[in-house]
Amino acid sequence: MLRIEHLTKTYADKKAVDDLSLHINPGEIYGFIGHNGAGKTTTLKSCVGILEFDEGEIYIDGVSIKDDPIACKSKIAYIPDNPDLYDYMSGAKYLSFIADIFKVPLDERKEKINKYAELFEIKKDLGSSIQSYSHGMKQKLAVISALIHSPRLVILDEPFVGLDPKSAFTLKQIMREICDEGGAIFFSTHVLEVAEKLCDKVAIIKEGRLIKSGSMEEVKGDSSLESVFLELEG
Amino acid sequence: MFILLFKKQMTEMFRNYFVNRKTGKLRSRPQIFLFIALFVGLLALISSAFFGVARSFATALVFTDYEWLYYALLGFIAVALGVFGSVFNTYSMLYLAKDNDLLLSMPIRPSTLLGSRMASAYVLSIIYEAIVYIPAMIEYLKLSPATAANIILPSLNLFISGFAVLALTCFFGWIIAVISRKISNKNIITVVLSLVFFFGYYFVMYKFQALMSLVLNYAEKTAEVVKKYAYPFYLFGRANTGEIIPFILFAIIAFGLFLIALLIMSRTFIKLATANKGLKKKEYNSSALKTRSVKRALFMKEIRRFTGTPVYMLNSGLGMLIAPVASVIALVKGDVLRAALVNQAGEYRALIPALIVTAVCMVCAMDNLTAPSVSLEGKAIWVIRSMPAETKSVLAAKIKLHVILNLIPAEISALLLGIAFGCTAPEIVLVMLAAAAFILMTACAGLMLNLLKPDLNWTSEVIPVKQDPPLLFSMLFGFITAVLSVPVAYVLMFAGSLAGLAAITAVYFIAAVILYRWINTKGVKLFDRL
Repeated sequence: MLRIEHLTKTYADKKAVDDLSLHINPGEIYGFIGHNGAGKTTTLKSCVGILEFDEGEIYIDGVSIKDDPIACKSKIAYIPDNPDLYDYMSGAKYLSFIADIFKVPLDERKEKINKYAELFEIKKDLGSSIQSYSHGMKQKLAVISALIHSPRLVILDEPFVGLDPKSAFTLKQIMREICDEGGAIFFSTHVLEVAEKLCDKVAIIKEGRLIKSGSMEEVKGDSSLESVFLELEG
Repeated sequence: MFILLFKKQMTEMFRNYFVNRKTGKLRSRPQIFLFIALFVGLLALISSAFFGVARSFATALVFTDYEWLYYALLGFIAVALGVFGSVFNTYSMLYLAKDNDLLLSMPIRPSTLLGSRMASAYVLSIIYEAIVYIPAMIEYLKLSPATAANIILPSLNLFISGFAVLALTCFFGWIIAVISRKISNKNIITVVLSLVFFFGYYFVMYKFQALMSLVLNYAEKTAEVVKKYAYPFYLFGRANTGEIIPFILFAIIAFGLFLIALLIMSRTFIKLATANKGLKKKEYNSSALKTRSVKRALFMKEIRRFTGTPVYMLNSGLGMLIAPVASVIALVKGDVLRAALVNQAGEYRALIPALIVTAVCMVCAMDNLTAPSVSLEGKAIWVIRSMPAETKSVLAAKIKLHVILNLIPAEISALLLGIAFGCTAPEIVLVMLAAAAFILMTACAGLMLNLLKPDLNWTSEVIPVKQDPPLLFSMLFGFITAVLSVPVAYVLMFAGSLAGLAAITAVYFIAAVILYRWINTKGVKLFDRL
């Protein structure tokens, strides 16, 4: 589903990501952990075609993001760490705009908006301007906008920040459903307990380099993910 | 702390002149000099319009018993310009700044934060006031012998009257904030109030010639009225002619007004700055959802951005209103205008259609919707960048917004002015084509400038819409290219008016095509790197 091959991205003279390779298969929830500034967001942004990278390749379903970004982006959904949305639109108009760009038919978009807005308990606010939303509500709207076109691959940067416990639980369930239907999830998090419980596979990145990756069992062995992470990050 | 916050405000307002936003590095000295020179040049250009007004007043009033009336009247114009120019900036700066919540959460006294924001508004007020004030001083000193008192006191009074202007702008800004809090659609109230201000100002300007004659013919009566109903201006006038007691009294009034404004605002600042922006909850209605093509959706996004941002509408869309209104006036007063211009044009009759092109294009150049359009994406740029939408379509939507919103009023203006000035049908058609080509060219130029100098890290929309260099350069580009039609028509006068018009239309159109091609190649790449 997502193949990152020797990804390298340099800012000025600092390598933010250095020769990183990862493969994420359909049905997998892949956690991406590392310190602040380790290169997680740079990797995620490169995968969704927001950042140009210097070396390497990224393939979505076998298609290079460099060669055909539009085809790749139509299969992806991305939620950034800070959901800055279009404040001048209402929640419903924003979702409809996203649905227009992804060419989601009217009935399907209505059904999806209803379903997810009810799940995240935001339906009554959809008519209001995004400007009036709290951080958590914006995060919920960003999540719904990511799900509205049934993406094959969802890339999320710290998706649980700002969500209330119930919404975080709902999101985890949805992530699992997407994978059960053949999709894949690649997300970064600092909450290691969540990663440990939710992820099928995990990758640890330090100063732009991948230092460990594999199935959860392979990475953590008999210890907790937290102790492995702290030991590796040293 | 105050100095720190004030510096932050100033840096935000003028950082583009000193820092390259792309690299984050300090600009070179020649670059800084060029940017500042351009800024000062633009101010001087606007200011030059007031020299004539000041001269008329000075000639009539200096050396009379009502010498003070000269400064009182020009002081009134300066204050009006200061208030008009900075009231909405002040409102945005005080109550809509995106970092209000952040700064209020820090161990900073709200009064310090408010004070620092007001100090920035004060700087803006002084800049606006100086546009009238400096020509007024120069023209006065040309006639009246210079003394220490009539140089020092007016110079000090610029800064003192700035406090009165600041008090008025803050007071009006406060009223807008209070009203906005209570009304569900604050965008409408902001735009309506702004337009009332704007058209009020232009009505006075329109009637200015008549008012000026009236005032100058009845100086004694005017002086009585000013003294009776606008006493602070009387004191201001007396002070500027070198009298110390009125100077002190005026200073007390100005500082007093400022203190009252400060008191009112400091009591309500937190409430208004952290209010939920007066936004009412609206019911979600799923049956209102519609499907649109990608291009249409992108265009609608631009429309919503425009209509959802009052400061954008007011700063980048006023020409759309001015053009048809001015043209209707021209048509109604057609006979007078024709007598004044057409009948006396003689051999230069061929230049009249070119002059109409210049007039229409000058008004259109006031509106540049594309120059801040990339910057206005702000931190939400990730939305469009992560979507499967062609960058060409994203950029085309921005151009389309500018062209569609400007084209209709411009074409109406061209038609009405053409009729008012007795142009032939082919001339009117070419004038309309020239205006259309100009609009397309300026849309592309504005977008190109913003792609070259984007600013996505603003804390208030005022910065990309009013203060960033792309806007300044696009306006300059618009004004310079708008006046091109006259020399082109002059050079081609031997071939008739149609040749001149065809040539200028071709120039605008070719420039538009070149710029459009640049946007679709290099521009796309620049946007993709944001």
